[in-house]
Amino acid sequence: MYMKKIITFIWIGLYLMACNNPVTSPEKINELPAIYPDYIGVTVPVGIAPMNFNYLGDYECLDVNVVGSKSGKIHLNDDKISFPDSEWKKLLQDNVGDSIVFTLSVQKKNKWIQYRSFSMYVSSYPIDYGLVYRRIAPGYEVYSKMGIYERDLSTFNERALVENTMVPGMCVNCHSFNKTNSNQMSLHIRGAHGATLMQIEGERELLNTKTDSTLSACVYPYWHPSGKYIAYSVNNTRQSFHAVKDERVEVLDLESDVLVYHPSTHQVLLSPLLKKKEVFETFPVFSPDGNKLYFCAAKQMPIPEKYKEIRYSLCSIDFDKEKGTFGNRIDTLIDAEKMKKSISFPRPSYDGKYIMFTLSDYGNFSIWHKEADLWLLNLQDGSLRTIHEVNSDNTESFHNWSSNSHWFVFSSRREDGLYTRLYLACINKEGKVSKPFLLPQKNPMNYYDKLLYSYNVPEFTNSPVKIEPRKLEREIVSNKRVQVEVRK
Amino acid sequence: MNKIHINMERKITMLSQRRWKIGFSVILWLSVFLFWGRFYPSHLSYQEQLQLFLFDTDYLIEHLIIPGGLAEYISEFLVQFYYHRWIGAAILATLFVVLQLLVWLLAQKHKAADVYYLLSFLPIISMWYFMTDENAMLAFAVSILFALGTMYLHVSLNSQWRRVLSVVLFAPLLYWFAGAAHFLFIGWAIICEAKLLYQNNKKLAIGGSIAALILMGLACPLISGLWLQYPIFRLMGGINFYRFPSYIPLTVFIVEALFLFFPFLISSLSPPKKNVHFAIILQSLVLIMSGYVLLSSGADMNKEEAMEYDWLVRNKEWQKIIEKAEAKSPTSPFGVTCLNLALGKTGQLGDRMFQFYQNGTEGLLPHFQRDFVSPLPTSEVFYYLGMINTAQRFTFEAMEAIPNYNKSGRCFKRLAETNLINGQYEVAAKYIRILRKTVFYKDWAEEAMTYLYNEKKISNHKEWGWLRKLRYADDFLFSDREIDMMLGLLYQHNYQNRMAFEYMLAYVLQERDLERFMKYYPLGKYAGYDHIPRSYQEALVYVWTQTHRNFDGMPWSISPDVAHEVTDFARIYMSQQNSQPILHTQYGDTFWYYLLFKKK
Repeated sequence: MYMKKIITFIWIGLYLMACNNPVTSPEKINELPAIYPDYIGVTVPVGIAPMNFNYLGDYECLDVNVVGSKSGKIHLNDDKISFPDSEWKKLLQDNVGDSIVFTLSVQKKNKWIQYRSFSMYVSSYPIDYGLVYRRIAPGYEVYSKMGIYERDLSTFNERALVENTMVPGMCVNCHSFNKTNSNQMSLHIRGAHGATLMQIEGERELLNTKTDSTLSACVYPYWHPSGKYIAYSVNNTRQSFHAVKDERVEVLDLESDVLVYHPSTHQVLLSPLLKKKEVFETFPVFSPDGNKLYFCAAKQMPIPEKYKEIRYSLCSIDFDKEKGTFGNRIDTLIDAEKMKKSISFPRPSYDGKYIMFTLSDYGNFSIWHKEADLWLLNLQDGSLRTIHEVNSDNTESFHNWSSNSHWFVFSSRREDGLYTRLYLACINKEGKVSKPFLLPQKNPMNYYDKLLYSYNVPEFTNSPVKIEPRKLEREIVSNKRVQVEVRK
Repeated sequence: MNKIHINMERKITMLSQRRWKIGFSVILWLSVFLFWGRFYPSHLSYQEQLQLFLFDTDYLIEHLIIPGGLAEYISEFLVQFYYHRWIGAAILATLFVVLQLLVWLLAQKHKAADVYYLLSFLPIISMWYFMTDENAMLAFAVSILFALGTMYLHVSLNSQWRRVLSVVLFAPLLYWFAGAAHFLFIGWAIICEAKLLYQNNKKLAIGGSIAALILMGLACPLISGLWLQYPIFRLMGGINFYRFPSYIPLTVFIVEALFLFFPFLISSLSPPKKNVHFAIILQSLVLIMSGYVLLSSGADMNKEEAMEYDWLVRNKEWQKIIEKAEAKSPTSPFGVTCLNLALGKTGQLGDRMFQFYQNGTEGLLPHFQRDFVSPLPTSEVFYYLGMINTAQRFTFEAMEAIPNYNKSGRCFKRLAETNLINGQYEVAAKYIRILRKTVFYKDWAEEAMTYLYNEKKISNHKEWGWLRKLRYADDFLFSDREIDMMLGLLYQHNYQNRMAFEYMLAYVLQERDLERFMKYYPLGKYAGYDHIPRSYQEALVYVWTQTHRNFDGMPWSISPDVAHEVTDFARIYMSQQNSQPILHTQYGDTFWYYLLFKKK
């Protein structure tokens, strides 16, 4: 009995410790609140994790009323803004296609201030299960802890798929899924136990993709929609370092070529048109119908003397998915020289409407280019535009589409110019793009401020990736590899 | 009265028995304290700079989610105080004495005789030896402490069922808090239980008990291996006992074995019936000799010297670096880099460079190596030269190269500075906010916060404002094959950067490239010298003498001493078949000797 009393007193104490003051006579100001992340006016998918945010400024207590335009509401009165998961999900569900309105009141020096209300829009387009990305410090040549992680977009849960603590010295990257299908995965492992991991419908192989006829092991994977081929690049890459304050790293390809890998035969398919000595070919991607291979190509220039003149155009070559052969002509969709710009990371939308790419002043490793922005090529009318709705004064770079082609995720360094964060945005059938929102976290300010890693290569997945780390570890350290061969 | 007298005598005897034991423990404390505080202090500052302990809940949680995390957390908490090296020495001394006392208490539980008290010091000597390795982590010692404490609790339980329960409860808890040191507890339980069962004539049960305990011990790491991404050997051997994740030194297991077996060993010895003092003296001698042998083989004074140089650089003690070099010239590229920086910072590089051992350009601006130690002094050189981006890169890379993925307080501070100087305020703020959660960087961080976005204040900062003026304005890509040209560009950007000029000339002189020296030398007219630095005079006069018979018409103000010495040098060099020893004695501190005799 005494224990019960003690416990009750403890709970009362805890309850009293949290601020719990109803809003009384607030001073209403016609200003939007300064919040982090800036979620004002964003469009969110139904089922997204609670869009918690922080108030930027001193306060004693916060009060948030969230009202659905159709129905439902949530009320919080606390020292932090953390929406209960089930209530949040229900609110979004009840207001699909419409908006939810936030009214934030802040208590400062025992007085309440009520800000102008703001909305979030609940899209009718669903989003995929999750994101898979690499997290690594934004360093130069050396890396500490890193890994490939999967985030469930409906919660704050993140799990490690592969971390380099498992095999000391290992580096992992270039993960790719076939149109968000987590059952078809390619992943590159570097280090003493290097390999290209291929996991198709539960069957896993570790490949040695370096051959005598190719420059390096295969990187920058992109799946053919049929799942029967994967396009890769092979690169001889070098890093250089800038001297002035606003620049850091320049990543240059000394050579690069494009090829296609055929998993069922363990053969790489080459074309002389994709491995010209005088051209840097890279970033291959298949069209949604699988009949074309898009890639970036630049005229070779002496490095380092003319590195700023290396500009990649967006090109394509036909691909016969039945025979696994290439066309005999390269088409240029966007000529970099005419634009005096350079294209990297082309990504066709799965509905065949667009190709999104990153545009920078030169080069191909745009994450280190402050001027890098996202652009959209409309394949139906050939028009080209900057996605001004999502671009910032800082780097926007790697991006990917959701399976329904109505969401995309992209990397941005807009917060501080160094640590890459992930943003999500919606594109409707008219091609209108919504204001992007930062990947939600339970306490975003605390989380992102402390996070000393960047997000790389975000990919949507439609379901959790099936992987057994311990088994994978044994396979990696076993050094048993399947050697790929060049098809004659 | 007789009874009172006898009791008093007994108390005095017990007290004096305890006093001698306390005395030896105090000697141990003082020995450890003096060793680390006086002879090996730079190893402490080395440990401190390779971590960043934060007073933050998330930091604690990060540690608690891995086996051994609590021990690691506690050890990092303690290591942060190594910032003040004497405090670090005291911490280690106290920890070692506590470990020793626990070993003794365990031995006492098995009825060890007091006369063998000193044998309880031997496992501590082995721990001391292990800790002289700069990559040995204090978490190992803290884990052993946890294990010994648990062993003591176990052996204090009288009933068998309580002891069984304690193993079931404590083994997994101990594994989670202290990591693989739980095997010590398992081993202890095995021996205790086997001994008891044997004494109680339950010999058949011994095998079963041992098997059950071993399974218990193995189950903990194996189960954790189902969700933790660490190799099994690390889960079994200790994740955080050694800085390098790829292997666990054999010493770890030997030390663990000593802590496990010594209490039993001590208790198994029968007390001598006479010559108790002789037994104590003999143990003392064994302790002293084993301590001497182990510590002299374990302690690496060359590394200590290098670390001392690095510590002095970190604390900007330029004069002390030079004084240290004057006493004994460093020979490693690491030490020479630090010395040359000190000479550069005090404007003496041109005058005194060759008075000390030089090992070429790797002692000036070493090439980048992918480790967590060598880039640090190099980053300091780049920083003070004004090559802020390169300093930032070397610092970042050094931190990323720390094998156990720790962050570094020293590196964070420098990265905050480089980002502040470069106007990357958001990034600087991120690092500064983190440093505010520390004990020893907090004050600096609070002060640094006031500089954010305050261009005027930064410009007025003695160091940051100055370095801002030195930075490159025009971009280019760093080339480690064109260091002298980059230094030339740096100097030409701001002729007040005399250090850049001196490093540029030092670079070409150490490369023995007199053609480039002659090309760069005239730029010195902008540097505001009131005399030609000694080593430049030596180079100039050497160049002159290659094409002239005398000094007539020499266009530079060469001192008469230099003129005389080069003549003498040339005479000896030309006339003696094996002139090197003589020239080394008389002119070993000159550029001429370096040019003609130092191995390339």
